Amino acid sequence: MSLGNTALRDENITVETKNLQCFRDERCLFAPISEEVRVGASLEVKGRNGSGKTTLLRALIGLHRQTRGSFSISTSFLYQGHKLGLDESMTPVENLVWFQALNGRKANQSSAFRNIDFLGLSEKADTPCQFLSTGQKKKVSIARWLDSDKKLWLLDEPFTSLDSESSNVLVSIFDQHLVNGGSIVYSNHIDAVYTPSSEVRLEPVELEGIVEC
Amino acid sequence: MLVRREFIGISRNPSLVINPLMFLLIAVTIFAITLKPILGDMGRAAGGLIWVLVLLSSLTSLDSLFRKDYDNGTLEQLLLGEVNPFFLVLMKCFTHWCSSGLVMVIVAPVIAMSLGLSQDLYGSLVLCLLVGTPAISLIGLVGAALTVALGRGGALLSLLILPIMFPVVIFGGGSIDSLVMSGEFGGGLIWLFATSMFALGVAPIATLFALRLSIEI
Repeated sequence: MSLGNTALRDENITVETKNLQCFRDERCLFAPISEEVRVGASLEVKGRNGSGKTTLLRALIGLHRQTRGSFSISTSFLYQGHKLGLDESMTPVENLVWFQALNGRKANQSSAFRNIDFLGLSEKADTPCQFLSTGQKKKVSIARWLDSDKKLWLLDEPFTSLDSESSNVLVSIFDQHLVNGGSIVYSNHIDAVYTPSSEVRLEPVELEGIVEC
Repeated sequence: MLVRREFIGISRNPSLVINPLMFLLIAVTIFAITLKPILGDMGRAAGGLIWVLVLLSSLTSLDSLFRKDYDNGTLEQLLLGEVNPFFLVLMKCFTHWCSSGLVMVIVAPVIAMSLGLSQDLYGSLVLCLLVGTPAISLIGLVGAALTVALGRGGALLSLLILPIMFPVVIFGGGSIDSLVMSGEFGGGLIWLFATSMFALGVAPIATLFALRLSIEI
């Protein structure tokens, strides 16, 4: 699976952007971004509120079309936005099994349960998600990342609403994913808990409103 | 599993089925109470009336069709997933039809009875609704997809899709009318079927485009 408007030259690069800019209502959100993410590497997207972190991630997966410059994604990816994609009336296990089906895999309840258990939610595995706290829902969604077989993770604010203990667990999950040959692009606006391979800061452009999409 | 999830969702939120059904039954009762004493029996009015009521009660459940999936982020995951989204849209439509159209088809004889339709027409009425109600779900799907990003889009949804529903009501009401008058469907049923088939061809593609638009905002 590949996305984007240019072909990649190097097989070890999973995400590449060249002078990528995103626009919203013809307003340019940030100065051009030229980055590449290799297999086994992570990229942190930094920036203040409203600087376009979410928009950049959505642009990479084709959910935001007002862009300029080029970008490409060379591998199958997993995207996690602010909305977690969990059905409130279903249990964590049912939600994970549904994601397996959505990605064309056979239903595997034991793998779903194992990953939920790994996040310390085994007691809540059969409780509908509407009875879970915000942090617990976040953990269910982390269990989904573990449960998937995607190499590239695109995560919007993965560390928000996690307590410090769970943040450390997530850091070790990140490390493990990179060791397994995955790569991660994530946005973050809170103080560093995790040290990425590289980071990019989204800066507003000085001259606004004179560019065309 | 994907289809099962839709039915799990309905079974854990029975109001999705019960609300339109109750709306239909109450509206029919109002007509039966107010008009029947004046007209004696509804005669030729019954056909059009049944279709208008079925259409309006379907509207009550259309707004929630994509709303929950949009709010909790499932919709963007659906579009990013590896299953063909075209199939997912068809599945959504099928479950909506099961939870509204099919239920109304089942209670149709009760409606017909309270409106004083002659008993030997019940079977034909059920057939007529069975052929026409998929068009309501299909066309409604497009409207629901267009308005899902607009927050409370309920009123706008009705304004958007009711004009497009005219053929369903015209052919549906017409075929029941010719049943009452001559005991035969006439051309109405065939045109109703054609409307449903046309909707089946066009609506899922339009829904897919509308959903992408709503997600990309």
